[in-house]
Amino acid sequence: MSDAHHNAKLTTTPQAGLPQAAAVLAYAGALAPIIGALIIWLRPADDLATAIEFLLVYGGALIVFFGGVRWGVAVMRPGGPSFASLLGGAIPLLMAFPVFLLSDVFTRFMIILVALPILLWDDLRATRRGSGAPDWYLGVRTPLTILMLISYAAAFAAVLLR
Amino acid sequence: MTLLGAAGLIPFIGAAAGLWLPSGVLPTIIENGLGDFLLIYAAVIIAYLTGLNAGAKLQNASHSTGQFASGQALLLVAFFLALPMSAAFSTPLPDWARFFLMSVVFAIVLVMDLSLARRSQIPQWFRRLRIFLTSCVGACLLLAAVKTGI
Repeated sequence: MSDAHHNAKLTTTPQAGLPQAAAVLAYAGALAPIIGALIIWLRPADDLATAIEFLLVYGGALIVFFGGVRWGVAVMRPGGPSFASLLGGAIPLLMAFPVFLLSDVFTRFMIILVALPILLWDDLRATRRGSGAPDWYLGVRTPLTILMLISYAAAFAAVLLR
Repeated sequence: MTLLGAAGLIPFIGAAAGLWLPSGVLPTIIENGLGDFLLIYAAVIIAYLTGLNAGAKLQNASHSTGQFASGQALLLVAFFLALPMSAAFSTPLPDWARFFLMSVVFAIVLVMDLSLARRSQIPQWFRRLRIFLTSCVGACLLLAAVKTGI
């Protein structure tokens, strides 16, 4: 094996493992909203409070987590983080607080349904500018966000129809 | 960044201090909700910190599924600890134990971040900030544990 080929193998193997590791866990994380939405559609209406509460708290945690990822990416930038990028990481945290503190189910669902696509759009923009997460991460995030949005929209529709 | 981090401490300090105030000083609705607020806020911050840890790892190639999973597992533990006792998935633990275990979760997340810093994957200034902020949070949670355990 040539040195060049050997070196290429050394550097690409962990890189390939990383997206796979993140993707496996990301899709595992999407199972909860899917299962939650299915429960809300399939179970009797008087037995749904726990499933709805779980789904909403989980949605709030997702928004906060994505904010944390943005902060982590900003901290790791070679020149250090800018105030704007740190603020961009803190805004999802503020957006998510009403999901934990309010009791109105309608408002909490709406916050999740609005915040998730906005965060994705802004993350895609940052990556395009070269100041965001790696391309492959958003390759995972995009279908994942769509999957989660469908789950939350389906659950919200079920709540409204009952 | 220090300012934003310090701002995040205010609810911890406010809630922990509020728990130690004599009964009747605060309105009843606030007094009764302080403990739950502190635990929920702590769980939210854990979600943020585990996201931050994952975001930092995204930039490096040498992390396995297990290393990403440990953060997500801690996130789940934090939310189970934060759920009110009346909730279906709540932990059957007294309040003081929930506060104490939450401080342990913060300590574990700090260790995870410090191990990244040791491998020079997180800037040193961020390491110092994390140690300071987590020490303050740990102190607030332990104060709450002592108060609710008395």
